[in-house]
Amino acid sequence: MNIADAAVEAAGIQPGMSWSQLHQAVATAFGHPITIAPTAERIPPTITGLTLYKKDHAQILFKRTDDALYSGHSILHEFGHILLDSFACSAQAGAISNDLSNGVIRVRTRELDLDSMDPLARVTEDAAERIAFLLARAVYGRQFTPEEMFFG
Amino acid sequence: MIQQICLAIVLALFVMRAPSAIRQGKTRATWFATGAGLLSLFTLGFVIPAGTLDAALGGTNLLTLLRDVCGTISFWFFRDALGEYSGASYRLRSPLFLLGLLGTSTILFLAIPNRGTTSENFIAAHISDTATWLYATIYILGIAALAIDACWMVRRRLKSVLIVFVLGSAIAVLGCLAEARYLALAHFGVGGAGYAYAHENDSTFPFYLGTILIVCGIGGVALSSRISGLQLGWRLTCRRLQRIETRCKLELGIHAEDRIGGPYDRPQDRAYATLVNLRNWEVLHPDVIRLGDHKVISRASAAFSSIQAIAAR
Repeated sequence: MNIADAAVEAAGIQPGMSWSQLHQAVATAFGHPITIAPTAERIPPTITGLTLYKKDHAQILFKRTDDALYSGHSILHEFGHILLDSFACSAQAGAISNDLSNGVIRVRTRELDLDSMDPLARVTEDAAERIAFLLARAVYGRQFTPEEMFFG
Repeated sequence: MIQQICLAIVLALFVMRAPSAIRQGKTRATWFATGAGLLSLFTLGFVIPAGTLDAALGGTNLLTLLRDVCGTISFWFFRDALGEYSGASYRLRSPLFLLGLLGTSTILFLAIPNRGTTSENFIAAHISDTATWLYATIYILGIAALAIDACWMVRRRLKSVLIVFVLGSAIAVLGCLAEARYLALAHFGVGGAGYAYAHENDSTFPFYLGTILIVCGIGGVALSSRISGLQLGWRLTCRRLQRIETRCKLELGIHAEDRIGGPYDRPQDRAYATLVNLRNWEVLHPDVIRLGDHKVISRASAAFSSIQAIAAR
């Protein structure tokens, strides 16, 4: 089992979870609240989502202009970073605007420009992306109707 | 004929639902119900002659007891599944009721004097015995009680397949009552032997029709569940998306880096991964997705929109 699979399993992520349940499970694994919001701030075009770790909570930001699927995937990727609890960052606070970096301890991002990353950050990024796909399977997995569960 | 049809449907359903019953605990009650029903129908002798089966049990008509016990167990599990599904509280839930019913039936059956050798019409042949009458009446009214209980507990939740189950149960109850009536007529000799004989098979059609309706209700849910599990729509969407992906790959060459986590068993998962991949490429190479392809991508993306539940836009 690789680190991504292990992180998902350790967080108790189950197929058929709703978004709210997943959000709660990741926050529980993190140990602090996680807020999620769209942002209109200037962030590099190849960054599709980011997590700002603050003193007592984390804030996940996604691009307001992205559609539900893509912004959802960026959030799942950030959930992946949180679950991995890694210290390897693909972007530093300087890569984002001053308004966003206020009070930020650490930053994780979903970066598409993989060539610019150092090898360790690349490994972390790939693991977070793998988690994002695993989480997508959990939330978009087949939901059985009550009839199917009892008579299917 | 209606009994053979019932046997064929129950057998098909039992085999079809075996994998899901092994995987998913909640489906087991109805699977056990069809299993017990299958065993009960099997004793009618359509596959192996009833005489041969009874001979294997000692040739004293214990096959009749086995048939009736399985029938009772079948209706018990069906009622149990309905109770779990509807979340209704129901009164005859205790296994003691089942054990009491089966225990009483067995004691009465064993109390029938001179059960003799194998007889396909065992009950009719021994109906003058009080033990036989009591045994057969308690058995058939026990099934009727379970079916009525099933209808009663879902009376305020009538929707979708429950309507079929209630209809089937109600018709089966009519069959049970017809049988109880025949048993009383025959035992007490009301109207003479000929009159009772004329009503001997009154219960067969409604009882098996009701059973077939219940079984078809379960079968309908099981079948539609398997068809939707094939994800035929997603397979088609996936093929369209992969055509776009292939074209983009050809255009981008070495820049087309896949970030797809796989492998994927479900077409929907594969479609999701392909959509993310296409959007990644679009961010890096804004012109790579053609105008016509956006429609396909948008339509497929729209199915994954539940994120709005947690993100305040």
